[in-house]
Amino acid sequence: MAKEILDVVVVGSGPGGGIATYALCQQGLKVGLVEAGRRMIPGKDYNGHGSAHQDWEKRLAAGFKTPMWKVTDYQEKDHFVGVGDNPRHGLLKALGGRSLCWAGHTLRFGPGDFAQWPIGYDEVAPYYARAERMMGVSGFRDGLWNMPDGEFLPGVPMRCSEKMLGKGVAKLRGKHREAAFVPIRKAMPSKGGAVPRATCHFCGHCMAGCEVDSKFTTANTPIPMAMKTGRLTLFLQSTVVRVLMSKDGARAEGVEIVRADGSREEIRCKALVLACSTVETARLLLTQGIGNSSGQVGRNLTSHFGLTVVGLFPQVRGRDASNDDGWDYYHSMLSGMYWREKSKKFEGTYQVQCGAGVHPKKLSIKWAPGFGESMKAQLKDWNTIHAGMNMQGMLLVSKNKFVDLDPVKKDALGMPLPRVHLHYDDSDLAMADDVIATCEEIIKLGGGTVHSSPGKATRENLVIDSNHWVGTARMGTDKKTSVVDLEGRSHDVGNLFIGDGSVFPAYPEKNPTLTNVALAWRMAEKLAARARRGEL
Amino acid sequence: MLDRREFVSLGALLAAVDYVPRALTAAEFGAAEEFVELIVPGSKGARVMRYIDMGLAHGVGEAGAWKRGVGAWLSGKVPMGELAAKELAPGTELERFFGVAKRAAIEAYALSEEGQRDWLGYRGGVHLTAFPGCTEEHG
Repeated sequence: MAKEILDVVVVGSGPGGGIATYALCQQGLKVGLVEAGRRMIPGKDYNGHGSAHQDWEKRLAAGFKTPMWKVTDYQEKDHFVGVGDNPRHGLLKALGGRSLCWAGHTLRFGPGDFAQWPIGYDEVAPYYARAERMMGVSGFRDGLWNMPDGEFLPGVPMRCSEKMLGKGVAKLRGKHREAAFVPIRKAMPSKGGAVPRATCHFCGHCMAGCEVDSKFTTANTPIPMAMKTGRLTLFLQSTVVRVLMSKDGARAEGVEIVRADGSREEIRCKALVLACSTVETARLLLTQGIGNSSGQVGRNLTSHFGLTVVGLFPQVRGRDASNDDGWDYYHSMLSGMYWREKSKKFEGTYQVQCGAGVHPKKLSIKWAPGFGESMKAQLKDWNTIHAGMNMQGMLLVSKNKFVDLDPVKKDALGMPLPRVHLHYDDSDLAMADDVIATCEEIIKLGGGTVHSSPGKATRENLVIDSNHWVGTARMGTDKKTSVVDLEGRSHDVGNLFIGDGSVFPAYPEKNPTLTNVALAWRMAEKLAARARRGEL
Repeated sequence: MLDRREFVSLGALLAAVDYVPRALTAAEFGAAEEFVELIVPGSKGARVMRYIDMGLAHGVGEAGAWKRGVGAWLSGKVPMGELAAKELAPGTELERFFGVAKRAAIEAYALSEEGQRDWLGYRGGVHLTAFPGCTEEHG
């Protein structure tokens, strides 16, 4: 009997691949979802509720070096080669991918951001709305033009020191600076019944992995919904080592996978969706030279980068600090910087995610001078009255940032390791200096004092966001300068689609996941429409 | 083969020992516990050195630095105020050890139930139906 040819194979089950899988199944297509990792069990494989001291010995015996059972314990190591200014690249092989370890920050890109894209905000907005309903996004309606409000469940308020930062930002606006200070928006239902998941109970362990599955992940929402259609076949612990191409190279015919036991299998399909992450998708394409007539695969790499400034607000001394758990650390953000009036010193914009509170499992301020009871009292006081400001700046797209293949180093399956090249440009440093000065000013305007600050940005003290990479297979209308068309379809291979952040043609300061989900949903519907028209 | 009386005695002995250090010797462990208690009072009750020693045995921190530091402490005790004054520019083995021990002890104490409850006044880690945020007006 001839082996079944699936309608679509999706590679990667993270935010893009998971949603694409659901949307394709919903449209009546038979889908195979290939994921290199296994299914993780919340509360068992990771559980921030546990007591650090009680679990310490078990964790050490299991080879972990940190006290909490975090989903990030399972992130890959030695899976890429970094070149330049300390690039980092997070990769979590598990059903749900990095949706398991994201913070849940869910921000729409705005019309100003889409002005740099070949598709407009109005084109993506309906997909944002659908995504928000499925994800269960809680937030306040802030009325910001370039970070539009969405379909929100009730928002979650800020902590006291964050409100002091808000007062500082209000005074900054009084000095005619374009700025906003708003509560964060997260894919964490604050109210029951809206999505088929537990309501958030505010334990504060979002990024460690939500042990009650309240936080949206593709493993807990769209993939189970896709399973219910009866049209999804899961291939877990299966790594794609080769895209099967037609002899003329014009069509993708499937993938070859290697299972955990070493066995190999070819999965045939009419259309292929790659959603392995910005770095891994580029790696797969570059390894076989697929879809790269433009030479742009791996180029236009960008992420967010940052540094931290901490302020102290004596006004909040004496507040009730007995339970600051909440929604993890960040409850607020500085937004709206340079949206309209561009900086003359650097290109782009930034936001600053802000947090506060006493979190015993990860003290924000870990040192005070001296020893004994006075030192303990000082440390407790500082943690109680502090606010942390963490920059999230858009990294300038330039020839200094890209992905290629290491000519020598290979993984366990013999595939070349990707190299991530990161060399900060002068514009990046100038932006970071602006953030430092602005954060220090906001703290002082809010009535606080600066507790710690880098003072000056250097290539050494900037930290790249390991989970926010985008841009290695960018979308565009010109085959010579882009990799996929406006539907996310390869210019070169007509039945090859890309469903992750690598298609972003430009990147604002905002967190990528919601846009990644919305674009993947849109791409899947375009693909399904082609299937209905018999174009696959 | 142990008879019942020997078995009960062994159980009592094990209960009394409570924890057998893995990275440090018993003498080093005891001295380190004394040293750490001076830096972070309450550490002993929170079993901070047990936590640190377990970590050292698995490569969390450098056991050699603790052994050298404890050795320096035992060979000539220095007032804590003098060590603290040199914390940012340590010159001697013991001055360096002060910083190492302090960082590790603060982390372990903050992670302990005693540290969370008695020091930080933490009452979190519970199910909330809503997070109130800041409910007070400040300056």
